[in-house]
Amino acid sequence: MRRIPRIPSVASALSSSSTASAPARSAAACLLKRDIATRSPRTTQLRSQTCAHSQRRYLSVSSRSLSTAQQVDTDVARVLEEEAAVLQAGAQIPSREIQTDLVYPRGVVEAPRSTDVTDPEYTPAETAEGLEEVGGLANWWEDPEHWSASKEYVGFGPQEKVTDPAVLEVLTRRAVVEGLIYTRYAEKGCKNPLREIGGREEMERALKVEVDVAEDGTATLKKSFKPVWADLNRPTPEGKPVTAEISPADAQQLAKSWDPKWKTISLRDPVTKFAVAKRIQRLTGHVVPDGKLFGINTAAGLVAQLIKPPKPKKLAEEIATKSELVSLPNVRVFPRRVTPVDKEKMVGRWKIIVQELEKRELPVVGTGNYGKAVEKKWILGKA
Amino acid sequence: MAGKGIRNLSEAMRALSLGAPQTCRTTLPVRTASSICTRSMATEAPLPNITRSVTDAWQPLATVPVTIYSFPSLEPRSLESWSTKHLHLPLRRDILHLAVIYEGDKTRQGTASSKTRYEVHGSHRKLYRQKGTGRARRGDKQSPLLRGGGKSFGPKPRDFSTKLNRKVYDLAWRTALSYRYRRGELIVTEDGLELPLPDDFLQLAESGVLGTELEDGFVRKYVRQIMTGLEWGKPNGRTTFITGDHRPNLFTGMEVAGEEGRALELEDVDVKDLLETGRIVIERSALKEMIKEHQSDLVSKVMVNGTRQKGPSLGQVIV
Repeated sequence: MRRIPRIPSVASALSSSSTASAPARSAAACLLKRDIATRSPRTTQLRSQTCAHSQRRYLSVSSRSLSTAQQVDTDVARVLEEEAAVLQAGAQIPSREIQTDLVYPRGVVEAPRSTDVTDPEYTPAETAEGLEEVGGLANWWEDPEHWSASKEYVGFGPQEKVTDPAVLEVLTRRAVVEGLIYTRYAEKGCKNPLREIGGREEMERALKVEVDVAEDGTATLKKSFKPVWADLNRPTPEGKPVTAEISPADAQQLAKSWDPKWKTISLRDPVTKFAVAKRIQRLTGHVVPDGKLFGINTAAGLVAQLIKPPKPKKLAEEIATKSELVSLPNVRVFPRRVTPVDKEKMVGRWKIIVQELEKRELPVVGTGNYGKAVEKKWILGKA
Repeated sequence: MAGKGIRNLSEAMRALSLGAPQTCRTTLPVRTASSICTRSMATEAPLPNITRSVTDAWQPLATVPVTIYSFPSLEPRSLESWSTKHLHLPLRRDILHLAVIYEGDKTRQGTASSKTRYEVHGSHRKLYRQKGTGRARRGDKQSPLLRGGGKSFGPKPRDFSTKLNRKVYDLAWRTALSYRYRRGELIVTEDGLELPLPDDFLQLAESGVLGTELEDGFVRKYVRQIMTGLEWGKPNGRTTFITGDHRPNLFTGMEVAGEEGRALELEDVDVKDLLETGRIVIERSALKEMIKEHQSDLVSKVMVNGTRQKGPSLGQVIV
């Protein structure tokens, strides 16, 4: 695996000549100066050792420009002199704070190697018992106190997918109406294309738009759709987006009140279909893949696709949910193979078997220290 | 299905209408008599309505839509239309098999090597005389029959690669992509696919206060969160990211969190990679390049009447 080299150590920066532009150079020198100023004398020594050997593995655009700009000869030399002066003076300079909400271990002190210890009374421990536990940063970030909420993943859709069929139907109608409106105005350009969710009001406004559906599925929007376009165009407010939630009961009632003809609205136009799919993803969290999407040509098809539960991963799950096998009196369905141990457990003999085996100090499962039967290879004709 | 058999001879005769002379009309209701012969239609798939009139011409699908997403939010950003010959080919398992075997053969190192009796070091002196020792006759120490001797028919370095017609191999590439597309496992992202690590973390990493263990631990968790949020991670069969060139954060991130997926440069990808893992996430330009490089069966280098076959266009932007 190729690696990106870490920022070159100060020594290598000194030796390398660069053609960085003047502003970049001064900025780099400034940054470097601050960087150096943060270190206490002890850590400076440590870091200059580690930096030379380790590699930088993560890059940002800003840091990349920084690293190229850092290969500055004259400025670095000046900064180094200043650093030396600071170190000699032993002055305490407030450390440069990186604005972060992550909690990371600070002030790590490395213990000297046992060979470096000069104390004659020192004797290395021979067992780990009674020693203080140190290190172990492998699970540092698993602690919620160290992690921060700003690092959580935020997708385009809601965190939880909408699964209720009635709610899905209502949201599909909203998406279809908004998709149709988008198509109508798409040429004018959309400032915030189909990202805005809005609150309860916006949802009601979109659901109130009446649609006339022709025999061939062509939809004509009736009046009162302009405010919906305005809602779609509004820039997303700062902070958490407002979400409109609708209860399944309300959704059911609402869906019944509509003329079922709306489900015949044609989605053949690719622009409309794209807009509808994007809205669906934003509102429900369902990503309709392209391979499925191009076969969906009506609103009803889209609703059916969204409502369809995901395919069970295991055969046992499928049988347990919908097969008539479950209701048969002489059939039982197990999620995994029924082992001899399971059979013993079913008749309540397993505990006794375990007791008896333990009494004789025999392994409960497997062969323990005894290994395989010696006779086996004779029977199989291998010896 | 049970009950497909014939119960007895008379029924069989009846079914064959070889019994007592009956008119056609009387033989017809036999079906109802042997109701056990009829099959429940529960398992039969309904036939699609494939009948079409002679008047309306058959217009096969020419293009399929491809949504271009942003990463990692997965926001649909634009829509393109691609030829069905690029992304909607019928599944040909045989061609995929040929391609995977071809690649496997080509990748074999073929460096296994053993010494023959003529290459084993040592003297070729006869071990002992031919007759009179009471032992089996022996030549030299390097004989394959002896321990430490040469290998009679051992492996020698060789090239295992087999051949596959270029057009078949190219068809396999697009068949693999089409298979993914149809299953909804081909996600095309905008150009510049990269893992967006948070700024503060990058600054911390830059200043070196974290150290490799903490840096990698952070990235591992960060990647895991994204992959779980997208349902692309380990429980969903991992993900292959394909980019045009090396992207430091994405590649290192996927290496650190290898259980969630992997990242490949376009030049390192082959058909087998396209068929592995739960889904393929590829940036738009990489997909374009990939298909452009693998359409020899659609384009021609030969000019006929001043023109040459250029093949379908590589993705047209709709939205």
